[in-house]
Amino acid sequence: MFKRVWLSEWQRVFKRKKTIVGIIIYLLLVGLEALFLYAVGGVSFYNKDQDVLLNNLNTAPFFLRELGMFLVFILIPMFVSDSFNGEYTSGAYRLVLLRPQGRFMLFIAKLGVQASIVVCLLAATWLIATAFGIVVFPSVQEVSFYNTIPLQPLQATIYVLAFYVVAFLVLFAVICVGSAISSIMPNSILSYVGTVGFLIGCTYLSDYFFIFFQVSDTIFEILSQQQLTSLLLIVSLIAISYIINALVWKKRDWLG
Amino acid sequence: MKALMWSEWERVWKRKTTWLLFLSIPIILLAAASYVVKQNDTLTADVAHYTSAWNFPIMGLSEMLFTVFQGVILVLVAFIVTDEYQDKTIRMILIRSYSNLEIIISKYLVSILALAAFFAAYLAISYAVGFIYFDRPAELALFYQQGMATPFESLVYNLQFYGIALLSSIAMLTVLFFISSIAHTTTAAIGTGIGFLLFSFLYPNVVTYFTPLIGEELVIKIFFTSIPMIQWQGITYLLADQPFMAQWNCGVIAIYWLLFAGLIVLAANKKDYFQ
Repeated sequence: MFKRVWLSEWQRVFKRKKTIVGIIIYLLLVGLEALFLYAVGGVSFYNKDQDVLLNNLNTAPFFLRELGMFLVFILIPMFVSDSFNGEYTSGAYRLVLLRPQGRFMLFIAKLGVQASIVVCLLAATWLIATAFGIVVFPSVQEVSFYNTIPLQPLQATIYVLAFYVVAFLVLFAVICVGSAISSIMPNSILSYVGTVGFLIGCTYLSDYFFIFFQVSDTIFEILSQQQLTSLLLIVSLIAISYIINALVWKKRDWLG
Repeated sequence: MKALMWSEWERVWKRKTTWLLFLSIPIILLAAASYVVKQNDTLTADVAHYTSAWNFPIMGLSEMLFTVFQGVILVLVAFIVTDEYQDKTIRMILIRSYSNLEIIISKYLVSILALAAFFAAYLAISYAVGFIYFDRPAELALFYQQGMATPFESLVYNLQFYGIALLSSIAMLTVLFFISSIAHTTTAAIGTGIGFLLFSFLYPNVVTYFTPLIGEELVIKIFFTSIPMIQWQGITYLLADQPFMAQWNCGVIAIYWLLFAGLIVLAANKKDYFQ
């Protein structure tokens, strides 16, 4: 049952031309990012002050330094408000509701599809970036990341994978926040602008929210265990949006 | 045409969102005030960055011109242009004997009017908030100007600043209006719009990496081809005793406006609203 709901949601997401175009643009930007890193001579930054030379082992995380902004502020809010708000406000959602599935299962399927798209994008980025690093940048036997001891190739790969897992958590928090806002807002414009406005407005509350602007910088700090507050913040954002969604999706009069 | 604009104007104010935008001005200004109050602790009263009741309208604007005002423009044009197209209510207007171009022009003018009203409300409320939050010195320093200015001189300065900020925002509105008028859905319109804004923020900073390669003069020129960068630094340069990059910045704004106004006209004639 769940599998079929999932498949139908997956098909609907990819029936929107926007999804395909958005993914193609993202892949083009990955290419541009590679060109950019090549043009500046393989130099990137842990944060504003500390620069680092790229090599075959450490290239992948730095791709998210610039691409993170595109994912957080453009691609994910667009996908999420189309999936969680667009269908509902345009009335197309009634056709899905003709079937007797549980409402909450539909919500889980939507969340899962959005998350799996982000997983695919991150996996593609990791693959392209790693291959690019091996081909273009100098080859080294060991490498140290932000405040770590020198790591062997296998350890370095594990570090990079951990980096991408945390990056996924951050992006998943954006999906969750966006879905909660989209479930509440009366139309797509407000759910899109509301999501982006929430992410920007939170920086006035606490500096930890700059994580959405500086995805890679903050993840390096988290992985060097300098501060775990951001991670805690991300997890609580996911939890709070889940509670809001659960309440809204179970209580709402969907046909009204 | 006048009736068309009037009905458009009424539809703008029929939306709760428009009222919400205007009602949020005091909250935005209080946030900006609490931010610059902290900055004041580290400054003395004779520098231009020190905020008093007289220059708070500018400090509060430059803090928010980047984010809130671009967001307001995005919401306004998305509602006025794309939303009506997407939910097909535009057909009601097309029943009347107006051409596509007339409808688009009246929508364009009305969105400019709404934006100007937002600027005016922001200026008025920022004076009110400034009076409550900050002290009222007899004279104050202005950016890149010799000597001290009286409150009246700073009012004139504020008006000039808001005027130029409005003109540059109209150029931005024209770009976003064009994007909205060719987009088929509101999310695509806003996504592309935010993409354009992010691009306008990022490339001027990326260009500075290449200073050794292409020379400082060219970098500054490229830096000021971006509307947000002109709004961030160009306006104070323009109002300085010795204006810096004034012609270049005005030219850039004019080119943006001409280019995208032309594209809007082209798109209006080509687009089939009955689809």
